[in-house]
Amino acid sequence: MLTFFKRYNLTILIGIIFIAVWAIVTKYATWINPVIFPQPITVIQSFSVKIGELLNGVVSSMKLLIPGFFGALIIGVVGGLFFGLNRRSREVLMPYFHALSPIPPTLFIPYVIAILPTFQTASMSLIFIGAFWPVFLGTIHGVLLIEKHYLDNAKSLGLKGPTFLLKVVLPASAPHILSGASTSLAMSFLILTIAEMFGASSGMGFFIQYYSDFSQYHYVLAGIIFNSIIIVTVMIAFEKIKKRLLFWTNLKADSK
Amino acid sequence: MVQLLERQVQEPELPSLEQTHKKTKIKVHNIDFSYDDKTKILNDIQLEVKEGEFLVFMGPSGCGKSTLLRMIAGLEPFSDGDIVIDEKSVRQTHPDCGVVFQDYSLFPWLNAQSNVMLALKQRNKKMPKKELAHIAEQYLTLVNLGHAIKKYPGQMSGGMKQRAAIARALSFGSDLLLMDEPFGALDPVTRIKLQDLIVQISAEQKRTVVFVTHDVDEAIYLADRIIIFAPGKNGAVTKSIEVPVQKKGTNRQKLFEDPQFRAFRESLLNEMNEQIVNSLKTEITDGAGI
Ligand SMILES: Nc1ncnc2c1ncn2[C@@H]1O[C@H](COP(=O)(O)OP(=O)(O)O)[C@@H](O)[C@H]1O
Ligand SMILES: [Mg+2]
Repeated sequence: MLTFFKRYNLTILIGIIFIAVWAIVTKYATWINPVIFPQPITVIQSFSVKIGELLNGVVSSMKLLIPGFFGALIIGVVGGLFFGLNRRSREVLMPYFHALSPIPPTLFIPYVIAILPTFQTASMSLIFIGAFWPVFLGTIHGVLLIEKHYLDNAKSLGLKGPTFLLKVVLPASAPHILSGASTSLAMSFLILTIAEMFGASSGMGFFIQYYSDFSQYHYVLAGIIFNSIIIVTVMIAFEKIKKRLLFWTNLKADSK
Repeated sequence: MVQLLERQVQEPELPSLEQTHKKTKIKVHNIDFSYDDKTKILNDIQLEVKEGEFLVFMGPSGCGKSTLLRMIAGLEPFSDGDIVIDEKSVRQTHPDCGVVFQDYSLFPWLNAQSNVMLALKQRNKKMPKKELAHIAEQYLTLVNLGHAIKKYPGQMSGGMKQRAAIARALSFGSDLLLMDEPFGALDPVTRIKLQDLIVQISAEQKRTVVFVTHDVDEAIYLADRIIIFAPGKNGAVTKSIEVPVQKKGTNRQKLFEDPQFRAFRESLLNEMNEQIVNSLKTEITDGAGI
């Protein structure tokens, strides 16, 4: 703990200075609009007032994010394995993948909302589209970049079917799959919050949009800070899981 | 379970004359090979390996030893000639063999035990996991890795990895072991230890071994017969040399002091040098002929 403070004393100091400057400027500078730049203490009070609403927003957002992201993860990995292993199918469809994947999914928002019956299904689909490409293409690359040695070993052991997929192909391509998945997750949050500003009645993005409409920027700031903390925590947790799954890429030889 | 490990103990070294009566394990017919049709790698290779024989491929780097071994292992497709193992062409049937490569035999995401279990499972599909784990441990103990069964390849030294790879190849249960410079990246002491291990294992268990090395001493120490690869204009050619020295049960020190051994070693080195000089000569005359 002490070493933590020693190591990060400057980092922590900068944070404290930032908050202090914020507090002083918003309190004494008359040229600053207090509605748009509320004092830190007001923002903190807003948390305690709105914490229930914020937490409900997270739950409501997760109901869109989880199906969209995990749907993309599963279909992306399965599809990526298929196209990675089947050269002919890949050759035929890869030009489409290259053409479609760079399109920002936000472009489809109004249209998807128009064709799907509910806001929920529309948001999930958009999250799915955005999250699908990185993990799908990551998986294809992962499979294509599998070292020949691993395939030689698999072949000489006669590994086939599910054993070959689960014990060789999947772990060997896992580094690329997971780095694709981490991009997918960031993409999911991006699309989620944008979609919620369009037509939601609750959620992380909705909260911010809603109170902006009423010019209650202390709530908006509280929402931004709270939601950022949630998103950063989820991303860090994901990186931890990723590191755990890929532990074997980072081992050091120890004694004999 | 123990009988899986304890294979029939072989009679002490059979002289080469008697070996001709043994069954043929591998037959290589008229193998011409090139990767890209421009550079010829192998030139009309003929080879026969008897059951239980310890055969060593020896020759300078880049002359096609690994290529031929990979072809025998069914890992490299080819069009000219044929390779027959246990009377089945490797073109039709994937050969039944255990393979050890120089550096990359293990899957780094599985620990030593799981690596071995993967091979065991291929032969014993219905065996419960617990039993597989137990037998895997026995094989790892056989190669003196009993203390490290839970280690991942990334945590092991080069020597440990090769031991585990040998355990896995043995556990796969094939009568044929193919090893491509398995000790090439090891320090001299570890290398000697593993050579002794492989000599011991091949003497105890009735297996046919094809072993690639570019080290003359390693070749003589291990081989019943040495196949010398010599680079040539139309790809490498091979020459078979019986090892005349009686080795099994002799200790290493004594062997290297044995005059017969030293004479053979000398003649082998000369043989190799001569072939290299010859291949250089042909290149030079070729160049001059233009
Ligand atoms: N996959 C490959 N594609 C093209 N050329 C190769 C390939 N593998 C090996 N070669 C070439 O074939 C020759 C023989 O290689 P190799 O069999 O590995 O030799 P050795 O094992 O005797 O050192 C070398 O010149 C090498 O560059
Ligand atoms: Mg080689």
